[in-house]
Amino acid sequence: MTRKRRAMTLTARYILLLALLAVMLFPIYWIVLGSLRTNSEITAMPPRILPSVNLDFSNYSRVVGQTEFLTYYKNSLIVSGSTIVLCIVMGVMAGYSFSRYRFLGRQVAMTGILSVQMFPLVAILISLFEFFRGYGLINSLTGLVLAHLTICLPFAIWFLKAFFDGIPRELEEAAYIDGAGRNRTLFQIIMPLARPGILAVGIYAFLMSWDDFLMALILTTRDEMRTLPVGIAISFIGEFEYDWSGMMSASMIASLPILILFIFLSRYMVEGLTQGALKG
Amino acid sequence: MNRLPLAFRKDRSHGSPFSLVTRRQADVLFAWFLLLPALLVLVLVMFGPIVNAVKLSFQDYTLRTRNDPAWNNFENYIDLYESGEIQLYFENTLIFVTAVVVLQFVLAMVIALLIGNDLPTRNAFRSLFLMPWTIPSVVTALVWLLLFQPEYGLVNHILDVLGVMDRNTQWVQNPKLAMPAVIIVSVWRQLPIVLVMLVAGLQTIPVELVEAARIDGANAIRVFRHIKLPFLAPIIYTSLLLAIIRNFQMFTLIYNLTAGGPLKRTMTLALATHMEAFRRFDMGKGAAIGVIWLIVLILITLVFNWLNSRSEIE
Repeated sequence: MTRKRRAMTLTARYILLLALLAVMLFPIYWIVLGSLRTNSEITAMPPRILPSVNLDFSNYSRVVGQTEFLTYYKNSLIVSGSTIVLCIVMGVMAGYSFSRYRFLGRQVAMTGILSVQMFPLVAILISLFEFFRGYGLINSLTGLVLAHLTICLPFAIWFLKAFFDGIPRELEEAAYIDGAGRNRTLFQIIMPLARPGILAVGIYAFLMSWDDFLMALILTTRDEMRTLPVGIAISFIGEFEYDWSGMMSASMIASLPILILFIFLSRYMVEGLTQGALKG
Repeated sequence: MNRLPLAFRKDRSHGSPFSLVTRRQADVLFAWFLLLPALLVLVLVMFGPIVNAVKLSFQDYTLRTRNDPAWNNFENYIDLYESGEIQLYFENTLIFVTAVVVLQFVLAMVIALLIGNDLPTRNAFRSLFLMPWTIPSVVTALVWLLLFQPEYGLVNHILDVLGVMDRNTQWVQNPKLAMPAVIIVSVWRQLPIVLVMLVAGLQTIPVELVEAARIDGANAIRVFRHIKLPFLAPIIYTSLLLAIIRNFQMFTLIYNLTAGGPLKRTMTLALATHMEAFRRFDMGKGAAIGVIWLIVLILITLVFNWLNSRSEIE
């Protein structure tokens, strides 16, 4: 290929990519814009794509002040935070166990954990609801954390197992010779080395828990126990007249934690997504 | 292997809590101890309820009969089949899953090939394309609900200007367009996941291999077919299976966009299970839909594994 042709194809690729990127990112732009507009501006015909000069920030204070929004937010933060911590702890323990030890039932346990992802979640909730009701776990954040753990654990365990597989065994043997017990070896020698993997699992757990709508919809019935996704959906969808600007500012605030995470840690997000599949 | 009890060994200082068992036995105990918390949660929240759901699916279990559920002679299954409901839910699910998975893989492949291996801004593109995945599903449903609104929705405005359709056209309440709408939204949110996988896969291809093929006169299509595709095959296989499972599970986007309607046109197995169990409170029937769905997924997985093991032998 000549130099000129190569430059031309490169330009064509950039143009195509930028066009596709614009389409993909447009809905996000639309959320930002909608949150800064009044409802009459949003429903104006024809729709205006560019922002007007005077942006309207009052939607944010309206959403935060009027609804139970802050309660939903607090619940979501508590549930997601607990899910992250527990998912990491349980994931590290189980992943390390599968990576380092050979025992009867290991293969069955590993396949079993992976197969959980196939279980129809809605059908599980039918009996889980009854089971949780018996233990007072309906309308409880503890119940939600337990439920969310099952979405992130299969991934966390497999991902961390693959991660530990990549850490040489010699390290532990050396630690053993130096007199470190099993616990100390795991927590003081292996865990620090697995930090990038733990970070990726934590992000994944956060995304899954923060995004969950279905489990929270079934397992909470009282308004003050709802998390953000259910709270937003119930406050805004199905109304006779849509409060679009309220919806979009609520959406902005709900997406904010993930967007911040994304700006600083997108590398680990990508790693979390790909490594599991690459290492299989 | 050292079979002497640890207590008799020199290295007693290792302080195992199981000082009367061999090191090997202590290892196994420790391994199970590490597994215990995760297994406990998964058994209680997943395995227990799924076993129970299978049992429920053979019972008459509604709000009226919940205190005394009785075996009802496959009534739930027969009812689902004879009313034609399960066939409809099945058809909807197949249309939805196939369309979403095929579209997101084709689009992601195009974008991944455009990004390729040599673009200097490759990582920036990869990160920016990942952004839709960070938008919560409920928020995704809300913003697309706005975009799909008749009259002032932007999608209709653009299609109206282009002369494709009238700006008053309904999407999510239109029996013909509701399914395409949920498919478009699902593709938008999931495309980044597949894209990231494919970009990572392309990076594993040695540049020299592609260049050598080019020098030998292979065109872009042949390079794709004979070099890139075989390298990507394992990743495509894994992410394809995950995408199929993920979309069988898809609930949030469909529920918040169309709630399964209009006229049950977007009623997939997941939505139908929810409707039967938590709207009509016929838990037995809901569980039966769930069981059928589980069986289908198991079959798909088995076929995938079989295909995979066959291709590995070759």
